Parts: sequence; structure tokens; C-alpha cells
Amino acid sequence: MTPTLVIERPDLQAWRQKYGYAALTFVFWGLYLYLWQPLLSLVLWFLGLGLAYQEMLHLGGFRGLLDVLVFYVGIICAMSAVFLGWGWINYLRFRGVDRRQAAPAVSPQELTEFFSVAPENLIQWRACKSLTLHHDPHGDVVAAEPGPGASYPSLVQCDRNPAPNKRVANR
Amino acid sequence: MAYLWIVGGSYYYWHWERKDRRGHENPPKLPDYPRVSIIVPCRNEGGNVADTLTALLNQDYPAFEIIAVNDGSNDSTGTLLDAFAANHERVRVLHLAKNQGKAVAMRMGAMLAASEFLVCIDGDALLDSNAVAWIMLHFLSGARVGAVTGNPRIRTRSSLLGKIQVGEFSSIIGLTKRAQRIYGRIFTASGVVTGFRKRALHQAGYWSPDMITDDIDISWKLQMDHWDIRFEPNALCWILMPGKQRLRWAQGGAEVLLKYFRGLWSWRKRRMWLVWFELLLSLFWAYVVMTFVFILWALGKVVALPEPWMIETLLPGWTGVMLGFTCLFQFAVSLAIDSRYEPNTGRYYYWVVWYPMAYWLINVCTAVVALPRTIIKHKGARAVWISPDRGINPEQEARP
Repeated sequence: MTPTLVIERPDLQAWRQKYGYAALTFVFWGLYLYLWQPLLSLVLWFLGLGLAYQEMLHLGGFRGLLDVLVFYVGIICAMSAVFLGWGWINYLRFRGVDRRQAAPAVSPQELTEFFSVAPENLIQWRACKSLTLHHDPHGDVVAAEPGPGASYPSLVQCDRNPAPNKRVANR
Repeated sequence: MAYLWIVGGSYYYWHWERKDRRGHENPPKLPDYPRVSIIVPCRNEGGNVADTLTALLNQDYPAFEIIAVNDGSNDSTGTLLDAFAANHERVRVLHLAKNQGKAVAMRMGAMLAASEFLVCIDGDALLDSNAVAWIMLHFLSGARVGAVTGNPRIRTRSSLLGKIQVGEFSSIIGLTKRAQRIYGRIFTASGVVTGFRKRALHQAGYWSPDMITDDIDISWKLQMDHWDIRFEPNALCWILMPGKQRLRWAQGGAEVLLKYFRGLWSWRKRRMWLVWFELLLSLFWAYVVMTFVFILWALGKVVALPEPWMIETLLPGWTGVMLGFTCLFQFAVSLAIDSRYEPNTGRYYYWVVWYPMAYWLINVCTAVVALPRTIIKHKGARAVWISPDRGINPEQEARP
């Protein structure tokens, strides 16, 4: 970890905010425990064993927990087995095997065809330390303006590449 | 679903991370160090972009260039970037005359990039000095790897939201990405830090200017085209708090759910079925389990409903106990796995209680709102930047 990157400055917060949120979080823990109410009740019942026996065993209060537990544990085990099995089969099948040949790098020509710009423009733009591009409402480049120190004129309307736009954006 | 993430994330950790004792500061030696173009799209990042570029210039990688794309900013971003470009040989600046949105900014960056490998990071993020090397490890070891997503870490932790998000990023994002890697496809690469192979982007048609979440969409495009996306937890990227983005994320999920539905049903796309199903399940949860249960309960108070539809009470029963336990267990597992990348994250456990109590509800609401919004959204409408609140940052506030 790079400790200086973490910005933890509670001192910059208003005290109301700082302590207010901490207190509110505490309240939320309380509310959260409310979700656990049935479990807490179970524990409390066990503290008074006779009542616990009456409520949980004799009247069957624990069956709710058992039902939920069996249901959840069953589903979790089944899903996990399928999931890990699938992962393991794939690992065994494909580890160390890469059927795909390394794809060639995208050439400048492919780029200029795709973005409908002239090849000489792309060469010039890549040589600029600073460049401003103007776009039409569809996001296509219509003009370019090199920054200071560039060796070509200040605002150039783009020569659109005559090749068909090979846009495949919606594949 | 949470248990699938817990099981999958733990298995990923056990299989890929447990034995690796190098630490993120010591990336392995690569057989080759091909040139990398780092693309930084930014809009109105005058307060952050200098730190971002300084961190990038410190990359411990021999061959890289930085292309900063200023997307029609109306603050000092453009001037700052030009000054950087004038002083640093590795930096080039591309200004877009008008705000075009992140997707077009990255398309233009990719067009001007001279390298086959791109690393795209946000204009307010600080990339760990070894991150590029960790990302490149995957491109050099797998010909079908089209993208590698890194590990975003929250920097701003003073506020409540920041503290909750520390837990959320390791739990929801870290754990789900690990689990999804086990079934071979991930829902989304992180828009904050991802490396791309340009060939994969080119085949998939680059980022779509009309999708509300460029990162989710490009992840689906690449994977539908059979490219692999890997997760590299050692590629750390320090980010400011991404606030008020929840509805956008939910809408991005609904967009891909609809957009790729038709193309999904062939045997060759089978690996995407699980991701799609996972997404559908979360929407189902939001709509059916939460909303309908509440509506039926409320309705039952005024009219007599048939027996199977009657919800007697919203008071938690044993299911509530299970839900409560599941959530805390998920956070505990994910913070434990994550602690090797950032020690002492355990103290954020106190704040994660907000997640089940309030955040889940917010997420349910955003999912419920996002689906109709996506359906009625004007087709082809351009998506542009929305700059969120990023939390308390004294360095930035001290700047003029």
C-alpha cells in the first residue's frame, strides 16, 4: 500500500457529521441485529431452558430454522458443486492450451479505414505534441488543429478517407 | 448469488493468489516489454490531472507513451495538459473541441496511439507504478486476452460514503470479478483502469458513443467476440470516491441485458449465459423479491388477497437471519482476501453495516428505475460526461 495515497481526514469534517455518522452507523448495527431477531430469541429462550424446550422443541419453533438451513445449505452446496466443477473441467481442458494464434497488430491503414480519416492526416496527428480535433454530431472527425510548434497549417478540414467506413459498433 | 461469489472468489484466491508471495511491488520479469500507450480521458479534471500524469510518468515500465485526451473541458485541464506535454517527452495531448463523451475520447486516443497495447485510466486516478507491468503479463501470456482489468482502490475515506465504498469495492467488485473469472467471463472491466489489446478493440468496433456505461458495453462486446478479459488484483489504481453513479451503473447493466439478448443464444456464446443470467437474477431480485413483496404486503392491508399472495408481515423471520448473515459473511471473506493488497482494511468492517440496511435498498431502487429508463431511452442518443462528487480531498481544495 502507498499510505500517502489514502486521504482519511476526519478532522476536515464537521464534528456533527463525523460523530453523527458514527452514531448513526451504531444505530444501524442495532437495526441490523433486528434482522437476527429470531436467532436472538432462540438464544434467549435457551437461557431459560424450560421455555426454550416448550417453544422450540415441543411447539416446533426450531423447525423454521431447520427448514431454512436445509433449504439454503442444499442450494448453496448444489450451486457451488456445479460452479466449481465447471471451473475445474474448463481448467483441465484448456490449461496451457491457447488455440488462438497471436493476432497481428492493428495497422495504421485499418485504423484510417475504420475512423474514416486520410492516412496522411493520421501520420501528421501522431507527430503532434498537442492537437485539437473537431467532430460532427455523430462523433466523426471533421477538422484538426495542431498545437504550437506543429509543422502544418493551423486548421485543416479533414480529407475524409474515401474507403467505406468499416464500423462494426453494433455487432 | 452471494454464495456463488463467496465460493468462486475463495476458489480464485486459493488457486491463483494464495501461493504468490511476490506482492504487487514486485511484478514478474516479462519475456518482452512491448510499447504501451496509456490513454487518459479527462473532462474538467484541473484539480486532479497533474497528480494523475505524475503517477503515470513514474511507471516502472521501459516503453510507454501517455496520451491525455481533454474532452472539451471548461476549466484549467487543457492548459495543464499542454504544460505537461511541453515538459515531458512521453506525454501528448489531444483536445476535443467540444465535449464528446468518454467513448469518443477513448476512440480518438486509440486512433492516435502508436502501440498495440493500451492502458486506459480515468483523469482523477493514480496508477500504481507497477500496474502496467502486471497488466502486460496477461497480454504476453495469452493470445486471446483482449483486456485486463485492474484493482481500483478508494482514496477518499473521510466521509461515510467513502468508508462504505472501501468495503463495497473489495466485496462487490473484487469478489464478483474473481468469481466470474472462474466461469470464464466477467460482467464488466473497470472503467477506471483497464488494459486493452487494440486488435480486440478493433474487431469489436471500439467503445460505443451511445452507451451510458462505456466500460460495461466494451466488456460485453469483447467477450461476445470471444476475447478473454482477465482480472489482475495487483494492478492497483487509486481513485477518488465515485459518487452518485449508481443509477448509471444500473442503467448500463439493463442496457447490455437488452442489447445482447438476441445475439446470446448460440452454443459459441455459452460462456456469456452465466453473466447474463446473473444480471437477470439481480433485476429479478429487485423487482420481484423486493418490490412485489412490499406491494403485496401493502395491498394485503386494504384488500383481501388470495392465500398464496398474502404477505402477513414484513418482520424478519429465519430468512432475514440468513440474509443478514450472508451479507456480513460476504464482506468478511472479501476483506480477508483483499487484505494482502491493502493491510488493515478490516477496520472498515464497522461501516459495512450500511450496505445491507440502506445500500441494498438503494441498489434495488436504482435497478427498478433503470430498466424502464433504458427501455425508453432514445436509441443512438450520445452519452456524455457526468462529473460526480469525489469526496474530501484537501490537496485539491488547497489548489487555486
